[in-house]
Amino acid sequence: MDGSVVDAALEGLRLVFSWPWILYPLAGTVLAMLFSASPGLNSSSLMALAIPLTYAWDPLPVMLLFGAFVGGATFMGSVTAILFNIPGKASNAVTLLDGYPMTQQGRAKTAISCAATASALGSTFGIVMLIALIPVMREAAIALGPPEYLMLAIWGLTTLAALTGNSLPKGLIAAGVGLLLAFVGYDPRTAGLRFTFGFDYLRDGFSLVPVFLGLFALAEIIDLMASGRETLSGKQRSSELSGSAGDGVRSVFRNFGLFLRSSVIGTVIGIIPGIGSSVAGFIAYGHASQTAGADSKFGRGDIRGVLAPEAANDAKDGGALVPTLALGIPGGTGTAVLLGALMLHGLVPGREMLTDHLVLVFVLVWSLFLSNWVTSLLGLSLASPMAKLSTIRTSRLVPVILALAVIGAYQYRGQVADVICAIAFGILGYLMKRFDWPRIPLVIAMALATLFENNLHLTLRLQELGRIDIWSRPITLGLMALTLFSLLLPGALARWRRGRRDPKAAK
Amino acid sequence: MTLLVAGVLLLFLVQTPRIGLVAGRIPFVVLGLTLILVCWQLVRELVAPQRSSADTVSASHDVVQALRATAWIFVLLLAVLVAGVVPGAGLFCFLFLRFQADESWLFSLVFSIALSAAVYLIFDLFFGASLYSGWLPLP
Repeated sequence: MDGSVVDAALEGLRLVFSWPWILYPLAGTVLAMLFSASPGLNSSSLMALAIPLTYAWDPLPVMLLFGAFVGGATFMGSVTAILFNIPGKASNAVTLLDGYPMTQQGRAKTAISCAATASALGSTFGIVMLIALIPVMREAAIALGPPEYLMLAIWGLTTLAALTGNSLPKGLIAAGVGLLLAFVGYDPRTAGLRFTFGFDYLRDGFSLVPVFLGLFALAEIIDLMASGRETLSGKQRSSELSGSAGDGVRSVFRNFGLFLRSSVIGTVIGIIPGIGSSVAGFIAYGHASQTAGADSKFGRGDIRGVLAPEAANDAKDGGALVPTLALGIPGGTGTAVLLGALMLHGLVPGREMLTDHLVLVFVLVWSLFLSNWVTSLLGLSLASPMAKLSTIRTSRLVPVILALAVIGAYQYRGQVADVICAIAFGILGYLMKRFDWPRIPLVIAMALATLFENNLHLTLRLQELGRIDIWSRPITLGLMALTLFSLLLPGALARWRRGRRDPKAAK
Repeated sequence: MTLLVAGVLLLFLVQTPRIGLVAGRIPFVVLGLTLILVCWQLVRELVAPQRSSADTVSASHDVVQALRATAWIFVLLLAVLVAGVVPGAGLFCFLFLRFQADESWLFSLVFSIALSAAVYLIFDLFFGASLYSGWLPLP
């Protein structure tokens, strides 16, 4: 690792643990834990709410805060999965398969302490991999030109469209709509207006802030209100914790090989854009159950069924930052909102971020590291009171969150029209969620549209002038092949699954 | 939902004559490809099996709840536009807690005042943010 990377890493570490900057990741961690402990709310909603409120901040506290939001979110959803059989989010769904039976057997504390330990160590693994890959990412980013960035944008969008949600056409349509929404406003080359429908507000295009607020915060609130749930978890009281915390911690070290393999799975899955965190957990769980041996009790309270997905879920965070920071291609919802926050503060992922802003990159990484450990330690000691959050009446939370969303939307540019825009996207986001349309391709298309359009123009122009030949550039051709693979993969997977369910029909 | 998306794309299509060819080259291609995909999706949905009556009953219940939720958001917007962010948030909170959540008058009033006070203290005094003051000339 070269000296500049080491220096940047040490400077980032110093900044994160210095006073008063350490207050930001600690506050961010607590906020992320509160949000992610409540089924129906998540860290993406929290980040969407925080973007407009932190718009005027310097980049350093923003990186400290948002790194903590990413890191503080994963573990607490496991607590509700283990205690109530209700996952905080999709990535925690697999933890309940063995976590909830452990609670029913009076071993809730064992399960939670195992989850906390696996989360903390898994995230450390993912972050070590991320740091090791930063020098490689820098060299790779420098080698990329307009055709490569164009194909990266296309590959990112097609992969996300293919792998998020359960329908390739819906994903591609959402991506197309996202690109069209991003084209609204002035054309950067001719200054001509596009798709403004006569509204002055649209001359500068749709801002990402009300879009994020609407799609990820307001849509979730509408869904929460529409679900008719009286409390976030649907239960009136939380469970008491029993079991042994020491047993839970020791179980991770007793199964250290499984922990390492699960962490590798999570990191690799995280690096591939669009493959959600729930996939990492399920693959790790599947691997654990297949390699369990004669003493397997998977599905009936086997602690390895908690350890494997938790390690994978948290290792994924470090992996997901690789394409986000190096290429500007987010891995999923959380990194998509993070990408929006970075861009709004003038931090452009890619070669510039990994050279001119390397210290800030490490601030983000170390903040993520700190928040994962704080979450695990606090979550372990505060699991029982935290779990009570999910029994709070939704009617008391809704006005608070709506007020925050309205303030956030207005604060960004001081325009009431931004509030109306956020509400419109909130309704759209709810409809998309209700009718099973993926939101991620839409929002990522809006974030990548400038990269896509500018590099398409540059590539076509350079090709016309004979300065480049895209058919002789191996990275470009490789990305074209990957794009084709992404488009064909869902159909192939669907046919394979149908074949496994009904071999006769497959024949 | 697909019809809604198709409608949005048609709105974009109607705008295309107003855009020059240079500025519109890439958007026109994206619009064309997306329209083709929407037509394909519409055909798939027409060919797909119909929903069961149980699904329809639960869907209509969702629609009522969702419309109610959306209506409350517009109540919030109206309250903020008329009275400003601080009083508007409190007014909305009171109305929501009393008439949607069926909380007591006292609880609704106290919670709403607390919310308005918290918004004012945190955003106006602590962050120094300039909050929208609404159409009414309130102090």
